[in-house]
Amino acid sequence: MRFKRGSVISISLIIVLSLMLGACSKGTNESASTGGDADKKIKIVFWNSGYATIDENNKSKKKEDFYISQAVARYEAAHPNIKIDVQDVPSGDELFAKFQTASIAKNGPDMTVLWSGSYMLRFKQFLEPMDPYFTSEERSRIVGWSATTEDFTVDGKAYGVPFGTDGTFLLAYNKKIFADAGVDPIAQRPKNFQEFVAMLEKIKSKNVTPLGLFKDSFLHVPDYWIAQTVDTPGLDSLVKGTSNFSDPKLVNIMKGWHELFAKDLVIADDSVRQLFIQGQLGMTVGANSDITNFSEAMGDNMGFMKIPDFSEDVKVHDGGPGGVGAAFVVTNYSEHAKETADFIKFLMSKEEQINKIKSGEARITVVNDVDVNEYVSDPLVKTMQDLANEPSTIFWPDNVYPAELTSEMMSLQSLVSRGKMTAEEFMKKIDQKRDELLKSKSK
Amino acid sequence: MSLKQERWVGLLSLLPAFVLLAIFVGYPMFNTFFHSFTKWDGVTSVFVGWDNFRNILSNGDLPLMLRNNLIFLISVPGILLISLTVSVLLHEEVKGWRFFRSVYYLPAILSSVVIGFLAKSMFTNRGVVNTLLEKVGLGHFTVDWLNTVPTEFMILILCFYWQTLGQGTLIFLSGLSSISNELFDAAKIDGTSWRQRLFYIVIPSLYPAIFYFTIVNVIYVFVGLFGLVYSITGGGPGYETTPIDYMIYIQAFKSGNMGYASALSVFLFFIVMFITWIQLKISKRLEQ
Amino acid sequence: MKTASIRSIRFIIFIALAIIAILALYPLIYMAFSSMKPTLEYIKHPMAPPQTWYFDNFQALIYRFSLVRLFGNTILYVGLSMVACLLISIPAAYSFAKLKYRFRNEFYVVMIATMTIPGVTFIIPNYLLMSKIGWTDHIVSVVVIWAVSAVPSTVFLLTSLMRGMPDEVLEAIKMDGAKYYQAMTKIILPMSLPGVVTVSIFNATNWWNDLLTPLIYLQSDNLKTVTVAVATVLNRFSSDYPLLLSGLLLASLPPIAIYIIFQGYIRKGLVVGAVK
Repeated sequence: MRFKRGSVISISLIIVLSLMLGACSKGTNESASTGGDADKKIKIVFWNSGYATIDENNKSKKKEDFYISQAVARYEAAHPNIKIDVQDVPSGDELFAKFQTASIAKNGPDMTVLWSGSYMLRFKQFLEPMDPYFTSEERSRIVGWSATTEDFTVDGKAYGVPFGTDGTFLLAYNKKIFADAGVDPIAQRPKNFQEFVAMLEKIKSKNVTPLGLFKDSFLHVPDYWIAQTVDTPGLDSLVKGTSNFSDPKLVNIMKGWHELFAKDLVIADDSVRQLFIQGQLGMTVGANSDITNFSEAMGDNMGFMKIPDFSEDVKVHDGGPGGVGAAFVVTNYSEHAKETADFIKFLMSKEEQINKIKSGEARITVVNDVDVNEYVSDPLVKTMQDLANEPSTIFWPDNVYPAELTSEMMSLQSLVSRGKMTAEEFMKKIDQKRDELLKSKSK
Repeated sequence: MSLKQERWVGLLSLLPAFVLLAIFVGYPMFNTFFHSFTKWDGVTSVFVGWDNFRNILSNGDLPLMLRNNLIFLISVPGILLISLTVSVLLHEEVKGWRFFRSVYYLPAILSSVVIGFLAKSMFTNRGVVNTLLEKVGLGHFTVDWLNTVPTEFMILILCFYWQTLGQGTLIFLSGLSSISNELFDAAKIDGTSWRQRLFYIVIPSLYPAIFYFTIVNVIYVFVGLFGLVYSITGGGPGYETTPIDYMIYIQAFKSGNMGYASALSVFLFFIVMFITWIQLKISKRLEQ
Repeated sequence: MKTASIRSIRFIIFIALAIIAILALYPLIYMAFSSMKPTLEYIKHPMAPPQTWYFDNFQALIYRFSLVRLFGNTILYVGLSMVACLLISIPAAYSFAKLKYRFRNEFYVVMIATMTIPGVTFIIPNYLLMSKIGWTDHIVSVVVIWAVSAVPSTVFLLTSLMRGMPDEVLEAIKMDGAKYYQAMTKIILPMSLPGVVTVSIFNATNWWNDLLTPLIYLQSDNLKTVTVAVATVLNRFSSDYPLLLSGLLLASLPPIAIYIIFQGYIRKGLVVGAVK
């Protein structure tokens, strides 16, 4: 056993070598991509989580055919000193984790697309304020700034630029089932929660489950009812603690949420799209993409309406949750914030927004100088764009609450719907959580 | 080889592993310990003493999370028994055993996302399971599987089993493969029954594999299950199906309370260490 | 009479194993079915066999991604990690299993202890470390993280199995005055081959499915792994699940192939044959 030490060392050497081998293969990569940059090109790194990288409607597109690739090509042709490096990343939780980690080490991207509102404002310490880069004219042709500003007002300090809109969240209904039950949801649109329940009960009497919801539909229905009752400034004061969730008006909403389940008017799981298309459900909630799918599958048998008001004395009538769900952000550690902002302006320009619609990858837009109807023929899309632009569309309340409050609400709400927690308890818990958050923030 | 030499060989063989572990596990562990006493958002940290730990003990979520971890913990013997049985049966080399052996590991190769998707679509209100129950006349047993806590746990554990059976059979089969044929043949000649061979030859020679499997999976249900929880129940309703490691993820990456998440990790570390230590003790005693 | 009862027992065993096999195959079948459905058909009939041969999802993936590069990257990272992990782990496992020295058990417990902290807590400290060394967006970061994080469980499994090796063989070779290196290649490696293959299969499949590590450490498109690429298929504005499932199916084919090839090494009687 005399050479054993040598053997161990040689093994360690092999490890080091194999790692260095990896290093070399990367090294050649890098020199290849940076070799041509002797003339000091500005490189902007864009973590793309927003633009389509696969087109659901046209699966024979190649990477260079996609809108974002073409837009980048156009921009680079017009600005030869700039190179845009588009790196596709997943959206949602994975992106948040990646963005958070990379930003802490200050080697994240120059720009990316994050969910708007508090999801994005959580990273405020890494984001470049956009106000210096956008003139008021440039701002006024883009709608939805309230989703990107610190205080959720249209002209507050913006940490991002509206990217795209989810449209308005709607209720889709099966016309035949409703006709059989003798209900016309449009002509006899329920004016309050009681009428809504009465309508659903009529459907139920025909042995059809009246309403299908998703597991997270708290965001789509009762949370919206809360928002329409107090309006956006009201939400802000709920968050700031100047008013309380335990307000009896709001507690009633949670009671209503429980009632829908207690009276067996609802099923809530991921199969509701399937059941609705098969005609086993009277109504279901849906975003624009769902409505399009339903219309394709059911033709004229599908109708849609806005979510009924919770009561007559709400502040916002006949609206729906939705709006600008995602925003461009520029990082404050970026060395080329100015150039990055210019690129975002280019993407938001009238011509580029038209190009984007024409590419078929986006149906509705957030700029007010482009009429979608000129470029698409589908009347359904036109209707949805109109709904999205109505002022009664309220920005997703969960994007207004601090992320922790939303996650607490989402965790607890299902206890209410199942009758394991009363509406009062729920609201009290939410108030408590909010106070806790305010306290730890002021510390 | 002298004892002294043996000691040097032994320690030098450990060296590369420990150097690398010290850098890439030891350092972050130390970092986590340090930050468990701070309020930390990733950039700035403020020393808060025992506040995070006090918070863990007092904010009321802990008993629930411990209960959830306990439920997963007591599901480990189940999968041990199943994998062991299946491996012994496979070892009998019935027709098609090679094919079965190949197939059993497939769910472990597929990502948790797929298993989660599948479980969710099978157990919806009018999914395959309920439809089947109705068809065989057990209509009154249909449940809203994904909306009641006990059945949610059942589904989570089912998925855990689904993904772990392959691992179990692979380990036990490779353990079985090291039992020499001579030993078997000799036992057969001695006229021992199948059952005797099972209890006196097969099981004892699998002891190391059994300990390995149990310890690794006990650790796994504490620190690795969150992929499944994330894709199936999301920890809800309330925090009714949230185990500690999922809470760590929520706190670190959804709420940005990385100090609190660190404290929770340290807390979890001691729990799991304690349980693992007990297991190691038991395994030693049994081996002797 | 006796053979008949044995036969019927074997038949029952067969049926039981077959049922489990169907359960195990089900996810794969489900993915294969789903990948051939247009979105609408999937929404309508998520569980049913596809009604037509529809390969657009695969076409979309092939057009969109440079699959050769993605698979090549992933295989390279997994391969390097596997080599590195085994080179570190085998000597350590041998040392724990068969050599005697002071504090051996203490070292062993420390190594196992490193498995008991959830990986999510390591992400930020390790990322900061890597970015200080300058290894972020570099394959070395992923290889090192994968290899090192798998060391404790690998050592653990190999140690458990090596303890079962007959001491006589080892003693005999020690008597012969064989060197460490020879003992390693002639005895220890061949005898622990089933264990090495088993643990490598575990590690390789875990690494292949790992989304978080490559997602966080790597950024450039040309360094991506398959799993990360598939995760970018859906974004906030789309719900094309068949497409996602097609991607996941495609991504899982290589590990399935690797598994089927390697499991052949876990055979009855292999050990004995090797030592003779």
